[in-house]
Amino acid sequence: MEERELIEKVQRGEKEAFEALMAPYQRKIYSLLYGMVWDREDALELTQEVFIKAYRSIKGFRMASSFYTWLYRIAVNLALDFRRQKMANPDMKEEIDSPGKEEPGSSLLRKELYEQIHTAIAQLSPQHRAAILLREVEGLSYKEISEVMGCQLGTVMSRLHYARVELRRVLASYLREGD
Amino acid sequence: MLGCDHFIPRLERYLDGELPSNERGSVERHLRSCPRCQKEMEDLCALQRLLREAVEKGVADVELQAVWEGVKKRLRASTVKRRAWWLVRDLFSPFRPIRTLVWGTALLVILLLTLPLVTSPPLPPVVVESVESEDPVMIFQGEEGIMIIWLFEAEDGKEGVR
Repeated sequence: MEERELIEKVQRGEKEAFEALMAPYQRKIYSLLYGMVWDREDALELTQEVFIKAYRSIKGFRMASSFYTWLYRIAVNLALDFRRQKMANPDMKEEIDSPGKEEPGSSLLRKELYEQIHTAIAQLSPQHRAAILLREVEGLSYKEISEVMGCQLGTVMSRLHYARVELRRVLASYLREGD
Repeated sequence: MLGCDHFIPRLERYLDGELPSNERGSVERHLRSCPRCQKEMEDLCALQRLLREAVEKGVADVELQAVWEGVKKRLRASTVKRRAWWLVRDLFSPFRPIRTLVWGTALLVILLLTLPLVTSPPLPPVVVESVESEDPVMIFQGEEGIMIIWLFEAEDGKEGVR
């Protein structure tokens, strides 16, 4: 079934169509949120929030923009709110600025690398973080990122450039590993 | 001939596929002959690879079915709440004046009918000390000491209860 048709069904109140509509995006939304909050449980909780919010506001979706940019916008805004709330709480702030929980079985080298990547990402502002993840991980174009983040193309380019400079600075030794 | 200062700012857009097609050819030619820009490009590609790998690692074995169960549960709960709210709103909505008038009148009638029952005191008992009558009288003594006197009316219309 076409995405447009599914959207119209959900807008008419057919809940069953909602799961089918979201199926292609659930993993993408989760990976974006995971990159934003760097914690599996928080990312799962936020993914649920994104779906709930999407369901409740889908009647307002007018098909003028693509559905996935609309969905990503909800996800980015929720992740930014989540971070804001956590930053307001000193205990939580410490938690989000420290390296993420590692999974058992990771090699020591990989564990160190992931911790370093998390540290590098944690140093970015939420807007720079969202921009680089939308581009590098989700593969969105500059125009799509500008739609998701509600900013100009020039702002997207400058955010991406700044994020890359910062990440390359922190991860320099890992980028040159193969030399 | 254009140097690295011209091409380095274009490498990110080249990698992202955002460079206009008329500029891509010159970037590719420069990359083939410039070790400095090649290194720059390799760093950008390596960063992209690392970020994807790190995020994919967090996503790889995640079970999203639990997310769906939670979503369905919450949507069901919110539907029940919303229906209850709609019912209340429907009954008392100021935008439905006729329905409000009917409900209001019905409530008023019920109130007027039940009010005397609630507020009026019970009738005091009447004590009959004696009965004098030429007509047939039946006296009934109840179990709780309640006495009922039945007086049958005579054919000529006389009654005699005092």
